[in-house]
Amino acid sequence: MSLTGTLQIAHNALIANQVGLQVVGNNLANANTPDYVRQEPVFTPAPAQRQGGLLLGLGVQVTAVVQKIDLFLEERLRGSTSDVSGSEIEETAFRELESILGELSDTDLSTQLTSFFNSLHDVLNEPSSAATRNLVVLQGDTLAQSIRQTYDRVLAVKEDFNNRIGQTATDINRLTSSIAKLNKQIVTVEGGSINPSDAVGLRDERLRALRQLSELVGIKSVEQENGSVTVFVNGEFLVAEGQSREIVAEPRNRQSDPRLELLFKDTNSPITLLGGEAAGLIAARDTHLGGFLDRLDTFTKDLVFEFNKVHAGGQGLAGYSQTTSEFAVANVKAPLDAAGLPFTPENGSFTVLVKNKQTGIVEETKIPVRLQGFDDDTTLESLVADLNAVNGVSATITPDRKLKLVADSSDAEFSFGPDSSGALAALGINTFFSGSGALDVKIRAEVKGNPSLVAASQGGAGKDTKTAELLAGLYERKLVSRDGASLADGYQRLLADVTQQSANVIAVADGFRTFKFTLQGQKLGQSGVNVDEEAVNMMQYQHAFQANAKLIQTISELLDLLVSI
Amino acid sequence: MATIYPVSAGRVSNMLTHSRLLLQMQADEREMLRLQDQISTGRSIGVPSQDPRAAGRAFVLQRTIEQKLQISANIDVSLSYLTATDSGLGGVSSLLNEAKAVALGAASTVIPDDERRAAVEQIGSIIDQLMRSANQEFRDRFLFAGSLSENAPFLTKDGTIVYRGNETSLSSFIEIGSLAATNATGQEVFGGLSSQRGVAVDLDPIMTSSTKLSDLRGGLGVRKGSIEISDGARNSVISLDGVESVGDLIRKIEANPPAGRKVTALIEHDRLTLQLDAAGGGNLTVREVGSGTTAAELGIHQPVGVGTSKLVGSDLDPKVTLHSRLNDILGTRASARLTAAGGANDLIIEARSNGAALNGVNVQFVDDGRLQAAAGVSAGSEYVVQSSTGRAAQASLAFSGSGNDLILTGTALDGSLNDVKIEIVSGGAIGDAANVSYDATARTLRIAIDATGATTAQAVTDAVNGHGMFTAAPDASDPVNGAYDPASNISFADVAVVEGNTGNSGGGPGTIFVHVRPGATTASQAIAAWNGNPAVASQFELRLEGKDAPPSGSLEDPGGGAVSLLTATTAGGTGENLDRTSGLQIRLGDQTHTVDLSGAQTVQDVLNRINGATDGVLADLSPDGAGIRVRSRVSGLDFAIGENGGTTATQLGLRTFTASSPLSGFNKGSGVDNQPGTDFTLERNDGVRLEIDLDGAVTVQDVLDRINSHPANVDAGGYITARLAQFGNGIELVDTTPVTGTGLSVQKGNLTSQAAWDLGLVPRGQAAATAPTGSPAQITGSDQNAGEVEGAFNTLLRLKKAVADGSLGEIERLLERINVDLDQINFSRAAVGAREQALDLYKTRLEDEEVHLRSALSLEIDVDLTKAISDMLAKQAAYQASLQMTGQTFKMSLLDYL
Repeated sequence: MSLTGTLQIAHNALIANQVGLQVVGNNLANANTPDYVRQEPVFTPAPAQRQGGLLLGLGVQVTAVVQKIDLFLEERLRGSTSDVSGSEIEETAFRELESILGELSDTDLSTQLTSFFNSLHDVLNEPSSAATRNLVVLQGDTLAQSIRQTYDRVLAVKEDFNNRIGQTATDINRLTSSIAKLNKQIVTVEGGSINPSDAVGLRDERLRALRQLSELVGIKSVEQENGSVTVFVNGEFLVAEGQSREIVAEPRNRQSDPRLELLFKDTNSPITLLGGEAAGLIAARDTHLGGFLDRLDTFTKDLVFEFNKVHAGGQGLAGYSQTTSEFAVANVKAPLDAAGLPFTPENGSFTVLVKNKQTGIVEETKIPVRLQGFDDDTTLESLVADLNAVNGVSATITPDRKLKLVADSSDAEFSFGPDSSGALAALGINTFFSGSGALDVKIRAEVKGNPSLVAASQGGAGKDTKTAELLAGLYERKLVSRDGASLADGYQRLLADVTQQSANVIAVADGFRTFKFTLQGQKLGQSGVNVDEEAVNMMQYQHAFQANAKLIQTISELLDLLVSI
Repeated sequence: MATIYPVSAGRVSNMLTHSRLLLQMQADEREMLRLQDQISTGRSIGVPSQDPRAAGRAFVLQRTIEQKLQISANIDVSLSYLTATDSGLGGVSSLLNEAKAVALGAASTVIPDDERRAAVEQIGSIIDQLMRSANQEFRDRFLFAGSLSENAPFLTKDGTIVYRGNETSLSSFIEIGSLAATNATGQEVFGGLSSQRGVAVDLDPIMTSSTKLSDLRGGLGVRKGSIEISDGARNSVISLDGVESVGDLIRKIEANPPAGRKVTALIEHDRLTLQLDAAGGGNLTVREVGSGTTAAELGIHQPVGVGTSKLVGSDLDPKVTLHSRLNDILGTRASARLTAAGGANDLIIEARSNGAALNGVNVQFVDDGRLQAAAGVSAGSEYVVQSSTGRAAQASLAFSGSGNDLILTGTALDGSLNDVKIEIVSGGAIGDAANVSYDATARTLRIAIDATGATTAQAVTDAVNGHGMFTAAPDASDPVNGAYDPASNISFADVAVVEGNTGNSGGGPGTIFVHVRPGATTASQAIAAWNGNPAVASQFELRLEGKDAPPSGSLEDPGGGAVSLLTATTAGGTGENLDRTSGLQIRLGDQTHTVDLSGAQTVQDVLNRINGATDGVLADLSPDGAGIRVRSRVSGLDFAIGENGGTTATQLGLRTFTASSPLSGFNKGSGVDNQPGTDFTLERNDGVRLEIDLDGAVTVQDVLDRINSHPANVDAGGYITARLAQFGNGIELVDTTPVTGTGLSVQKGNLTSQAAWDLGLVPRGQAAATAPTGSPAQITGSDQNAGEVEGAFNTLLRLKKAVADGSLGEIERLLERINVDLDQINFSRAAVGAREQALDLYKTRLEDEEVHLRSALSLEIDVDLTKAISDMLAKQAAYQASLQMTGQTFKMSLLDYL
């Protein structure tokens, strides 16, 4: 044992406390740095020295500076981050959807629907007025336009979400390659498991990258012994050591289905997403927005077909001198219910009324529509033959496989009577709406140009208002063809579902957020810097430093004493 | 909505404090923003997802309010129409009372001409005023035009008034799903159409495969439920979804039999029949599904079962529609069904006209090859003959060797010897002779020949002729066989080899024979042959049964199956045919319109022809669905429908003057005068006078009987025939005997009875009517049973004429009519008033309802301001405190004390 030895101990202690102060300084400096993990020096007593029979301590040494972090908590936090960012995307989708629908206002679709059917009441109030029929056309046009706009706007949001999926792939690739790079650096800096100190800074950076990645996609990460992390997505590795797998966003089908999906570039296999923005975008695109679009389309289809079925069997103020069906069949020899029409007719019949304009006499002919699945089921060809048997009307099939009807003379005009088969509506003859869904619903051009074709009558052109009565009550009528539900019920259900789903998604997102903040609180509690704590540490190191300095002074005095002997 | 985050139990770091405070501040600010938004918009929910349940209720409430607003507008408009109608009718009853007073003045005494003219003028002006009321227009709508509200309903034309409106009401919704009429038609109020006259005839259309289910049961229709058909072991439920016509139903039943079975469904004389295939046995039942009534309504409810015999349903009585074919009314056509084994070969024979006359006609398919030695007809050359006298059964015996073929022909001209087999048997050693015997049990004629072949053809001929049942004659039809040689031997080798069979070759008078080649002739070829005989084809149609499909997988044409040697007898013809050749006459005042029905196919054609003949009548289907009706639209003119030389009007139930017309209805209800003793006298061509007393005569038939059965009119010297006019209406007297006296005449003479005038036999005011020269002598009386429109305009127009003519009796009748018209107008006005009142009530209720709906909606989506503002204040205080705390927390640090 010597004084110099003691001096050495004091020297070591000074250095150790300096390191302590440096760590405090670093912690204080990063007190407000996001994702910074608080550090702690690890002090250990230096190994003992044998001197004769004694074992003497050699003071203190700093063996490592480590990060105060709970990796398990980190992993849970990342999972929670994925959940939150995914559900927040879904939340956004619904918020956009609800704002497009604008329900509970005076300009929403449900008001347009009611206004349209209300306009038919006015035809009943003033059947001979041209203005009321014009109003029906205008209201119908507004309704059709609103439906189309709603559809288009939601479709635009859906497409936007789709494009964001492409962006997600780029972001994921950027983050995974940066994690792979950091893995390599950390392993190099930490020297594998030899150096007990953490590669401060690099690890913080990697943590941040992992957190960002978890916002995009749900991941699992496992830290290896050498300090690198391996990242998995649903069991498939994304990053291992210094390697990352590239991800690409490809449309499901380049021609027909532009919906992007994420694939591993190397195997071209799709990734099963378990959370994060990417999963949220896909759910919002396919289930929420896509589902809404499908339902709006189905509702519109029902509205158009049900309305047209009644309308096609009525007469306006005047008849037709000629008309062509809106829809073409795919096969003129196929039964009408399997001929590729957008709407499906059923077994029944309709009547054709031919009026002699000179005498005013109307001749009514019943046209059967046989659709019972037998060999003689009505095809477009057989329908044309049946129609040609009607006095005063000639039917032909146009080159584009549509049905064309022409009155035989300028003295004759024709109209249509009750259609129990729906064949007229399915072919698009004497209909009110054209189109077959929310994308293309319009008022048939013939009617728009000539509102007197709005069918209000059932007993002959301009004879009564029985068809208008049926049409005005259609929205609220329980329909056998819709399993006893009315069109109003249908739209109501559509709205209620959007609202309920939206509320559910928001509630789920709120839950995820609360959980995430709770975890984040725990993390901040553990890894965050507390300035007061650091001040205490600082005082502790300061005092230790002072004490050791005092020791050196004492030794110095002792040495002086020895020198002066 | 603020969320509470738990405070962790461990360490607290600066970042934690910082992020928590930040979170808290954001939550507070968000909450304040929400409250501020609520207060400024007045809504408690901005987007529906904030409160889905409330929003769901609000959607419905909003829609209901929007609809109720429209309903309220509807009621306002409807009320305005009804008020206008009411006020329009205000002056009408006083107008009619005024007319009454004028008429009374004109009727009471003999009045000077100028006063009479003034009265006529006055009635004329009342008519004009009434016209103005009746043609009132309000908001672009002619109030009394029915649903044809674009045109004035009453039109003056040649001194008459024509009603151009209809009887349809215009309705508006006065409640969601509930309609109310907003008009009163001219017919209801003023009376614009005549009532239906004549004997209503049930045209009784037959049920065909295209008859709609909704037209069955006299128009009540069949509810579209389901029925269950069972063979006792397996059942099949048949839903009427997508079934519109009887034909659809039959096909659906046949396509869905109980598993593994075959059910044959047919239409037979307005009934459905069902039958199980006999081979599988079982018990056919038809039951309802659940508590339905469909099977019962279809008339085939049969829970007990009929085994494999035919289930015959009840009469389904289809109603008359526009599409009912004229061939299908007033009776049925005789028919028969030829059902053979194999596919695509079943045939139906159906008469081309209604009636029992074509019942009982036999149709026999004959194997042509058996009739003579030569080969019979080949497929494609079949022929059809109908024998007027009847035809004997016939069979050929084509012996081997030459010149010895024989034809055996039965001795009776009927089918009694059909299916008789002719066999050649050995008679032992009998030399050149033959023995003929007949076995009635086996229906076999045996010809025994010599065992050594010594029997000659002539011997056989003699033996057959000697037996007497058949006559034998040489058959030279087969050229290979050579000319007939009586000495030609019959080889013994022909025994049990050569044989003949008469098959279906014989038949009574009227039998139709179809000569075919069995196994080769197809159903289609039989039809072609049938149509090749115009006499047969004009009586009966032979057509494919249609449902006898070719065996599955085969691509044969529907008539491609080979026919069998079947026979059938037609049955089921009833009723008569509609006379379409003569047409009918419509008389409006002095004008007669003749309606030609030739070429008309459907009931609609008849209605169109009638409506097209004159716009003075309205022809439509009668509301009970049984027949058609024709009514006059012209006020002020007599209206009658008569024959045009045939029976059309009577058959359609349109004739206004029939044998059963009551005399009390004659002369617009004044009836026919009937005094004690002779009422009028007829003089025949031979000068014999018939005194006719109408005592006890009630109908036209009674009058005809009094004449035709007059004791002096049934002697051998010939007689007068009294009948209904063949053209138009009236009583017609015909005397075909030579004129020996002064000629046929009807004399009222000096009798007090006016019966001759009232019956129209003698023109009113004259003493006698004499037959014009010509043969036969004929007097056609005028129609005194014409109808008229029953309404105010008709009454006033006739009143005007009666006053001008000074006809007191008519004025008296019309004064009575005015009272009826007044009642009708007052009744209509009361009905309009009642509707107005009801609408007022609805309106008040609607206003209350709207208040309730709005308050309910407000409860769901409007904000409670008091609560929102106090929440806001509380939040502000909390936020302020939170900010202070933040400031203080961040200010404190240990470093301050070092």
